[in-house]
Amino acid sequence: MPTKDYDVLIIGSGASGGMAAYALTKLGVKCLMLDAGPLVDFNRARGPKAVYELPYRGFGKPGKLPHVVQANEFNANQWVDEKEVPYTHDPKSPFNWVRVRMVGGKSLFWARMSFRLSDYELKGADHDGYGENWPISYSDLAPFYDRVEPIFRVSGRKEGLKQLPDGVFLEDNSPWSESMNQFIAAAKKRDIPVTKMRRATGRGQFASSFNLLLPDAIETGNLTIVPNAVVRDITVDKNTGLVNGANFLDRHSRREMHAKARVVVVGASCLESTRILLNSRIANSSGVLGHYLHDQTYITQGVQAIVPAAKDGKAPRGMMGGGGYVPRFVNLKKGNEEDFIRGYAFDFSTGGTPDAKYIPAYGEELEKALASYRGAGVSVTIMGEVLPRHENFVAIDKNVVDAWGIPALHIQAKYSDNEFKMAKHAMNTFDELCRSAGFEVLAKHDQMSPPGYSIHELGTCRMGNNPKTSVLNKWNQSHDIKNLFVVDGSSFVTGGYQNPTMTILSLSLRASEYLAEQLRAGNV
Amino acid sequence: MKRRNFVRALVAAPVAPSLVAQQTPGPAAPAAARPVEESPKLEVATPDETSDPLPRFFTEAQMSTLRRLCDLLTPGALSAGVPEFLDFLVGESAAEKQQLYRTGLDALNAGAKRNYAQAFANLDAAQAGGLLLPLHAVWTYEEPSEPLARFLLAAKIDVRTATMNSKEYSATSSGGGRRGGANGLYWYPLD
Repeated sequence: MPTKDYDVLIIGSGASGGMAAYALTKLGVKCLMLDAGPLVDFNRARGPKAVYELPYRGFGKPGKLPHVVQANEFNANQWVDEKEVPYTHDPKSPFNWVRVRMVGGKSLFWARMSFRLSDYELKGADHDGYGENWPISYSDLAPFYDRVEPIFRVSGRKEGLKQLPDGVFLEDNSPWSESMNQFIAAAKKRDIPVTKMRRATGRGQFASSFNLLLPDAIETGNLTIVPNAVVRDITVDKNTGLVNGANFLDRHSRREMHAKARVVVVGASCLESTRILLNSRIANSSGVLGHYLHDQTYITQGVQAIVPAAKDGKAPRGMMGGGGYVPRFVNLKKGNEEDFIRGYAFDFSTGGTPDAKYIPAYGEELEKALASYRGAGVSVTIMGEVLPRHENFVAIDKNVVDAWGIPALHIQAKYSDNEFKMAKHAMNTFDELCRSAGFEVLAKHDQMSPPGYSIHELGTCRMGNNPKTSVLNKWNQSHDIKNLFVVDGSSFVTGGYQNPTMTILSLSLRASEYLAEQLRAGNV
Repeated sequence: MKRRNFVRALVAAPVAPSLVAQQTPGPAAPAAARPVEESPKLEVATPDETSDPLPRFFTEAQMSTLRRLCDLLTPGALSAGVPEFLDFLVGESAAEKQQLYRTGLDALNAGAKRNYAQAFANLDAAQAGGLLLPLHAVWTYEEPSEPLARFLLAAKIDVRTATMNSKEYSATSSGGGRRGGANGLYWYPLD
């Protein structure tokens, strides 16, 4: 039953906001959730079409989503319109800010890759001296991963690797294909581990806050969701200095409203949460709000190879197919370091067909080559750690506003020598492994996609023990304002090479249960 | 087969009988069996199947060059109306892409006149091949510095994609199946 009296206002309904609602409402906390986008009826919003029915034959309307490489003409309307919610960057340093605004957020569309961080990341500074440690260690986070993975039904294979801790998996016992076994044998000679992909299988067509978290939260009777509520800023009680709610605009009518609550939990995605805090002019006594932006480097199709025995459709059943994951294997032992710090992972598969661009031919000759290579391909995406650096930051661009009159973000991010060196090392290593496995390498490159491409923005509202160098404490709670929590990827200190969603969910669960306890004890 | 005939053949086969059936009057018509509230599924055609595009972007000489190039790059590109589609797509694109195509097509034609004293449109495959050598270079991530090579690499992918994504290709035996982006879930604008 809607009311105007809430314990907690949650801004955002994706992985982090959804988990906050899930955890808080189960503990009896009354929550109001605002999301900037609509509640989508997926049966109505989407329908099958042939590519030739699309106005631009699948090429997409030129210039519609210049920063969203993931967009195509089928799904162009699922992403945030860059003209409606603009942001700025130096033309020479592009940042691909990829956004979704609908109830469920990006958790509706993620690639579902589900990994844990380890103390190589959480205590990275102890290991190699760079940057800051997290204020928590793996043992603090592990019990929460243990509870999140079953909700998202993560499949995987236990390996006992210190750099990629095992989880509570639906055990993946599927056999490797013959070509995968060839690769694994080549990797084993160099002590490089290969495991099955760890992936949230979810339920039905989604592994999302939308179907796995929000329905349970609503069932408690303690959650009210308001879609199409575009938050402008968080409001502060002048007498206490505490936050007391947020101003928002109706997405359609632009009517302005104020939502009131005793506590505000921000989970609007890393950069949107940071934008809201910056526009609210709060929680920044440290001066680091917006700084230390990092993500993960992505090299797509870093190596494109062919399994010779599978050419011309000659692969017997069981030779091709399947994918594997190589977690970080560099810089794990002291005294055996590369010329860069931290590490990277390979996400690779066999059984595809190489793109036409890799084949130096045209016309009939090209079509014949493609027919010969069909199903014989091996391809890899390389994902590397990005060092958090103060000079990579976001700030409010005072000259640009969005469709609701809310000041836009300016984003400044560049990769450093460490990322460039790591990229080259990764490309060459995968190339060597392919050749050692007997594959024929068609093409390779070490060019990273622009920052932001991974859709893993992190770090602009980081946690830490020192209020002078961090925005949040180890409970995702503002050092400055005790009834303000930020529970998404902006709280990361370092990101590692691992896709961050399981960590975001675990941090949000941990922070939310702490918050519920603080509410019960009357501390906030 | 000329493109228009090819397309007519495609249109005629599946669509004509049902149109005839709908227009036949008389008590034998099956309309009575249809529930009143049913939303009928009407068969429709695409503009390309029924009408001629009006090229607007490229000059006549560029269009002739593009037609010959499309035919060389991807089998079936002419039947799929790719040159006319690219005239539209490039005309809608950023200035950089427009420039790439215009200068590339002009360079091909100039090369044909220089080497063979005739328009690129009139070259045979062997002659044209001499001007398309950049397409035999090994792939590198960095684009070639030479504008003609950059154009040819872009055109190779654009022409092939526009062909594979055409209705004409989807009707062939090799199209319409698992390959390419033949079908997908389309997102309507959000409410």
